[in-house]
Amino acid sequence: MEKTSTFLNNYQHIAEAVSRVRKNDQMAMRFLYTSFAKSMLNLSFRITNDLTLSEDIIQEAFLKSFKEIGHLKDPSKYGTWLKRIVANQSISYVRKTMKFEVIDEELVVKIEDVHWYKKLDFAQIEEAILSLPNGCRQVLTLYLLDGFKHKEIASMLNTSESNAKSQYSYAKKLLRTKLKSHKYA
Amino acid sequence: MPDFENYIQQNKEHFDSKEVDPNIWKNIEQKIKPKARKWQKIVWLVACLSLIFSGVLAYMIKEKKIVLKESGPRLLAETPANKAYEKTLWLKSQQIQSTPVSNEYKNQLQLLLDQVHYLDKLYASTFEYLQNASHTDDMAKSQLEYYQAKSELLDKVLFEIEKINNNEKEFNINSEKSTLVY
Repeated sequence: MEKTSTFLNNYQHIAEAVSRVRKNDQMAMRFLYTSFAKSMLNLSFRITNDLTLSEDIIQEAFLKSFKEIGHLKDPSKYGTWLKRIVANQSISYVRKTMKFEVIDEELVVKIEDVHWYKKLDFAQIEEAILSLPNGCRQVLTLYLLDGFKHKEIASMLNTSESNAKSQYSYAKKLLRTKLKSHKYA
Repeated sequence: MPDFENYIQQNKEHFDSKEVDPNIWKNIEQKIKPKARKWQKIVWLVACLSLIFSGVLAYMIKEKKIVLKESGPRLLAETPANKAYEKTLWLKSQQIQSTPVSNEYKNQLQLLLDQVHYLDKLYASTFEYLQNASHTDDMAKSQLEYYQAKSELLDKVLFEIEKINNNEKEFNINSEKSTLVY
């Protein structure tokens, strides 16, 4: 198990697989899919909040990546490239229903215990994240869990970098409020 | 709050709770299956026609030998799919060898066994050509097509054996039986 994990995370193997996919090698395609499918599905799900839709999205994203893999300059960056494809496709599906909420500047959360969040299950935190409103939820997950920068997020969501930062800050406050509510406390 | 952010970032994997449905890969696989090139289609069409022709010819001249040697084209890559095919073919061969057939009906089976021979020979020569030309991708495709064709032929042999033996049972024919040399 440990060996597999090391193997999957080894960039040399990713780069090797990418060069084999360029020669239409199906085993290499399978390898790339196995390496990234789960993280891509979860990335997409956090954006769409719709599992069936996200499954369709990652299917199309992998096919697109295999078809256009010749455009990828650095083979070891396949994961980053694929992540952007999945994020963009997921956003395109929810863009119509996505709106940035007016930020409630008055929202203040009192801190009583510095490590309050450690009492929570990860499942509870995840549930609270997924219950955040469209707009700020995508900003929060793309930044916090998927490693995109505010500038990149702003570009993907067609908004300004300052709005992306404000939405992120707002999402954090909302998340904390939800988690501190009686439902999770 | 930065502590909370760090806590989430350090435990990212716990937020990937959704599991991947195996059907997603099946769908992708169907769409990435390489289509056979035109020349390959022609080669296999010619091969099939030749098999039919040799079958008819063998029937006409009533060739009586029933000896089939395993030509054993080498395994290109030990992929799970290739291994599975090898095992399937081996099992079918074993089944053919272990099922007794009346000597008087072996001529009927010889037509099919000749086709297996011919397929093996054709594949061996195609394999050699592709290997010399370093067409690795084409070798893999040819190997798959060979497995499929051979598997179908062996199925036909088994079907014929079963048919012959069933007929014998029906008419209570007690003729001398032996297994096929395969």
